Amino acid sequence: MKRIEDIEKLTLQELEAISDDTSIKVPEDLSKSLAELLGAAELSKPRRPLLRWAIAAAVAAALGLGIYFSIPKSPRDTFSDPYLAYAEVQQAFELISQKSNKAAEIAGKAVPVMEKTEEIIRNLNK
Amino acid sequence: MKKIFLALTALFLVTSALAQSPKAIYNKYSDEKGVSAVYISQAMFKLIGKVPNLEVGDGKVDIVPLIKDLTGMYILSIEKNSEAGQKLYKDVSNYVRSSAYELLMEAKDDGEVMRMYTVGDSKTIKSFVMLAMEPEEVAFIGFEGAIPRDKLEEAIAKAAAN
Repeated sequence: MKRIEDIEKLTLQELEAISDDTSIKVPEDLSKSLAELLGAAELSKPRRPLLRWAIAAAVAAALGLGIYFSIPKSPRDTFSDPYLAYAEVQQAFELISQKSNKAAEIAGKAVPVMEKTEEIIRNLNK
Repeated sequence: MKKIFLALTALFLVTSALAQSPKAIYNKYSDEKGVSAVYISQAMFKLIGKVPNLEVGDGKVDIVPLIKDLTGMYILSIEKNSEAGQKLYKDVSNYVRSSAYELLMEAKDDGEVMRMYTVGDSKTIKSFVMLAMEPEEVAFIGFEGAIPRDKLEEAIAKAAAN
């Protein structure tokens, strides 16, 4: 009888030649013992499909709840009158404009200083 | 185990991203004591866009074409020395730093600080935030939607000129 190590060393052609050789008899109970082996292997596997589904469901639920509670709820409109709402928006834009204007003013103050510095540098380079 | 860890990490990232927005900031502070809060919804902006002959007022700029596509505007004003005022300033500063906002403008003058931030591209602003620390109060203005960048800049410049 061949050992597993010997069988592993055989080439494909050799294996084909052996399988074609009708003089070699297949043991009668081979299929039965193979089935038993396969069944035992199947039984020895941990059967936990329910646990997997439970974990997946728990993760999905956690994701769903997390997203649901983290989406900020829409507040109630402060105004029901579009004219009042428009006036408020206009005020907000005016405030933005004022602030931009102030920024421009500050930048404007820096211009003479920059020009003076530029002039000094120019004179030094002459 | 690895998949669960990945899912939980994704959950954490999604929830922390959603928990920080102008709307979330508004919800957090609007009910606090001493806070003036104004919220204008997308529905109201649509309504404003449909109102015929909306009075613009003396020397005021017509901003209807700018705001009709906004999805929300949030305004908060809190006393500077209050706990809520300090917290708002910190929260908004952290929010813009951790998001995709770009600093549009910053001005500091005699203890006053004003910063404007935007999210969008060269043509459209998708979100705008202004945070101002004034001598008396902390002001926050945030709006979301789609605003043509050039139109907004033009309106701000016109209003400033008036």
